[in-house]
Amino acid sequence: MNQANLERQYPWARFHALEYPVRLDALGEVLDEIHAAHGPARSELRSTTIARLIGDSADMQAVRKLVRQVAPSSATVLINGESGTGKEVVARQIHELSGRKGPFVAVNCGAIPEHLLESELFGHERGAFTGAVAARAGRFELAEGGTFFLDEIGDMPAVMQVKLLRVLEERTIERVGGTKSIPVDVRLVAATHRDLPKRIEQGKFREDLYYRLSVFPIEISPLRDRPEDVAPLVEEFIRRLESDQSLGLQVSADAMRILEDYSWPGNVRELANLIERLVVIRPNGVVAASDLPWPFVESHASDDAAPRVIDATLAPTNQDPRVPLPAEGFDLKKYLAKIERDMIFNALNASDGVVQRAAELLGIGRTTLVEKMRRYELKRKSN
Amino acid sequence: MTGEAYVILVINRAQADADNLKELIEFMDTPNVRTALPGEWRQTLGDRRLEALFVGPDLSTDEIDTLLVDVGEFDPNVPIVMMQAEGAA
Repeated sequence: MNQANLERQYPWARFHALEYPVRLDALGEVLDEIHAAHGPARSELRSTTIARLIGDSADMQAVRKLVRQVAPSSATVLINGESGTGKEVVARQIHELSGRKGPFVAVNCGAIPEHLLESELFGHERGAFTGAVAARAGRFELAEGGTFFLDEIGDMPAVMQVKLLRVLEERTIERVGGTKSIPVDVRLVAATHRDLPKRIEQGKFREDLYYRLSVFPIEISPLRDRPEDVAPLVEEFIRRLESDQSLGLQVSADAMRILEDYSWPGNVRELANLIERLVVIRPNGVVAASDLPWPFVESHASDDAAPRVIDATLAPTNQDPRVPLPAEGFDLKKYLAKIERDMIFNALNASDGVVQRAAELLGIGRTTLVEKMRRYELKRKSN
Repeated sequence: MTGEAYVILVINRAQADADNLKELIEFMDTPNVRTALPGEWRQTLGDRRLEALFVGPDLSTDEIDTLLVDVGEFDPNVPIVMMQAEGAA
């Protein structure tokens, strides 16, 4: 049964497709969509632990000032920032400082299939489509009296952009299959990691909607541009984990320097994940530079003799293949681990991310490979 | 998600393939994955909530139909991931 037939037969269903054997990058994308689509439930669970904007950099001070200024108003806010910079935290803080009594409801526009987004946002009446056995309120109605956070607005399909624009202008919604206009008192906060003016030029985003949304724009800079925020963020994440799990963790000055110099492609979310991992490695101890996993150590590798030796010996050469031992010695374990990680990375690329094939290329079992990938944090083909 | 309030279910006839997929999903930092046969998913789920359903490639059309009707009645908002054998699309 193909996907198109399924979608015709079960129009209510949120289908995703995945080929078997599974490619890790494809699986990761599907899981990201599933997690994002559960936005409201997850947001509710997190609501007791977040909504503090951490960091003393000039950028974060400016963001905090903007949040305080805009929160009490009813102005629509457009938050722009790379993935993981904390756009939802900013949105939630705007809601908390707004004095609005209704709930904070979030939805990720990029995570919900286009044909389901309308009923998700606006709800539907009974019998609106096959499978709509009961009327259901949409997220706009659920956010009544509160704040509606539309994440990844830049990925909203064109047809939905028109409908959202109408809601912003008229402050009413219509359920799918319904004829009644329902007034909604909702404060809208939108966010995107995309360059919306560029999307407008490309014809992928409506200019009129952009101006409606960007009444009050807030830009969150990437973590790599504000390294002074790394230490306070580390302290905050450790504090949260300590209170949750009664654990103690400290980060040495050397390790902190490495973290501050790191480029943080995943931004604050990547830092939070790292701290969770470090808590497992050193539940009640001090994290040394050598405890940091691969990408962090790698970013500082140029200071060490060993990685230079490794790079030289991994390059094709007609010279003596034996590894010259530096006079000052080097870290053999790290050297071997680097080779192993590179080979696994190459095998995953060669096998297009299919773990079983990569394991065959490497001559090891699938379970062994999965364990090594876990150790080296090689989750996606692109890592 | 905390604890086991939410569960991802992998529905497949071949247990080894279901275990393989379960292992990969868990590897992607998504815990609380269970495997089940098509007619036994409600018992496996128990009183937990269903976060997503992975439907294996070895289920018959009738089994898929029955499963989707049941899931629709249980919770139509559950994401359903249809697994297809490579090149079968």
